Amino acid sequence: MDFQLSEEQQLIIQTVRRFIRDEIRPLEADLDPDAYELPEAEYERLVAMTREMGLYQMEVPVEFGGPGVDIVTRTLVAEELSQHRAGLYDAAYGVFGDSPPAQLYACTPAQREKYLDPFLRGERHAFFGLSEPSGGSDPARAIQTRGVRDGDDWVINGGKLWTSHADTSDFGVLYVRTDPTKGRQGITAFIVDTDTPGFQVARLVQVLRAHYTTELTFTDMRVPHENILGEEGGGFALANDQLARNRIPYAAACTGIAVWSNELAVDWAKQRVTFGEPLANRQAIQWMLVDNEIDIRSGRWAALQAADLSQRGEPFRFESSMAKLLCTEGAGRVIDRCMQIFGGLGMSKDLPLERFYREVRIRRIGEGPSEVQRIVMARDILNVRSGS
Amino acid sequence: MHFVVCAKQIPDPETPPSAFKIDPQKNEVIPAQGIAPVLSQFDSIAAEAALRLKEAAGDSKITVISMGAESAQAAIKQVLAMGADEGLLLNDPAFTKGDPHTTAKVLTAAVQKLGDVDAVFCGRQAADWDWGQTGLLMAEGLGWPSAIIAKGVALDGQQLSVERVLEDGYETAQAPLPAVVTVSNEFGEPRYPKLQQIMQAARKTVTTWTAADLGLDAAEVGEAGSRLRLEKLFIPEKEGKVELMEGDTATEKAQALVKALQGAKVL
Repeated sequence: MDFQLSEEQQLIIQTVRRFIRDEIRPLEADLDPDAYELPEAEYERLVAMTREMGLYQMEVPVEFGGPGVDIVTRTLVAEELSQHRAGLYDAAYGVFGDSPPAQLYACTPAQREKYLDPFLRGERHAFFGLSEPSGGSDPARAIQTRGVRDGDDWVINGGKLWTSHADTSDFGVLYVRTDPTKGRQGITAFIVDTDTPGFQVARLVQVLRAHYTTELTFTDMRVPHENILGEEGGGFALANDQLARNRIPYAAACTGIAVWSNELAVDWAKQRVTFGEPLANRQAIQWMLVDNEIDIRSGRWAALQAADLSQRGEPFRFESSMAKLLCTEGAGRVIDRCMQIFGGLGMSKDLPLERFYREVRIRRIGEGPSEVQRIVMARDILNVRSGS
Repeated sequence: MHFVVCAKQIPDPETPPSAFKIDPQKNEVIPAQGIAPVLSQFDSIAAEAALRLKEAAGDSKITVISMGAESAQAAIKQVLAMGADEGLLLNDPAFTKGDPHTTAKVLTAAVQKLGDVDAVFCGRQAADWDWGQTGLLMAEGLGWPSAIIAKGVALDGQQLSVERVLEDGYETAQAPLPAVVTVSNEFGEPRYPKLQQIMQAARKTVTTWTAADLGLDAAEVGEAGSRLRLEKLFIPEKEGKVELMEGDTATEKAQALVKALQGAKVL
């Protein structure tokens, strides 16, 4: 067992850390505390830098023209990228390049030319639509959006909820029930252009975080059969694998904001004097800081183990669920303790803590709530499956 | 052309002051736990200067040299990741606890052993002890001209044209090659490493030379060879005192204040 990072990983981390410290955090001094995007000129300048560094779209596989950075390194990088005010949901304000919905890598050559390649060139934007008003944690049952074959097309009716960026996207990946008799095998992934007649952004849904999500409706929306991603009825398997994989860097980003919050709190505890003593001399504060370290390190190692298993092609679903649960819940506790240590200052928008506090709460729900992660893990422990 | 960049690994200057500790008995800095040492920022700028010259000159190579412990390989790899070609670690227990004179002696011996070096680039000073002497002492040891605190460097035939920072502006000096240049922060930001170069750097082997490899006697390097002795290492204590001026009227208070300031020799 080797807990040492490779030289390559250390150099990549140093590079990303310096970028966040020197390029991103200083810009935030002049931005609204809830900003989720950079002024256009700054964005373009920084994208040019990350492209030059070869770290633009670092998770894009080599066969699709990306650098194909492995998932362990990306997990380490995710922990660094989130360490600024907007970092949890808008890591480095997207200057390291957006990733396409990962399911798009299952595209046909024609789909690649029309959708994936333009996305990777930054010419077209995409969203991922899975959750519905009926739920998102149990897509095998909750997906009610219905697709019916009609000649060379599918006619789709229904809607999606909590869909980020759908209002600014050119196309998206939608999960649709194409055979109601087949449970999870009856769900198909479609690529859908947002200008398709019948596609509508019904409303923008405001949430805890700085940016909104959307609710979508589909009314007699005709989508060509050739827009099926993967195989008909294979949507669930396509989503399930990627969702488990996505949970890992998603979890590590939470550790990142916990790390930075804790650094600020440790420093403050040593500086701040109350009743003639630094806060750091109080056992109540010391224990909070120790608990922070425990939460941070247990989350970090769980995420890295899940990433390592995934990279080696071994089963990692249990570990990715555990990492997701430990990192999201742990980061919530860390930030709460840090705010307590900072007192009134912890509530102010002078510090990033209040934004982290709001946004990290979503993470116990997003990408599968803690309870669903426990269900996934319990199934593995007990080797039971609850139907299809 | 063959350029050398001297790179020193130092404690991270971003270490919070509260995490900075010393051992007053041993007169040593205690490395902060969990905070990895870094490449001295001035040295990364020196590397940037050498890289730009290499790009301008074409058909050149850069060797990065660090005197330090095994961990200093990380500083070397960082410069390799920026685009340097070869790494050289000067590591020997005899080299420890030296001063700028002994450091320069070891680095000079390495440059002499390399043999075909056209220019040496150092940071204007190390960002930990801030002596700012090593580059100049190397030039002395090598018998080469030196240009210090550079904000710009260009090749001009067989000589270097160096823009030097002065208190009230800058001057341009010409130095025939080979030469030593120390580079200042006014030069500009060092580049970010590219992913491809990071991967190449990680695969490169760093050569290690000891005192014996350099033909140096243990008595002339490190603590044994030092000319400077560190008498006392301490963290200055900051003290704040409040004294309220007594008096019934503003005039009386002002007079008391003047007296107090005179007493404290401020006025």
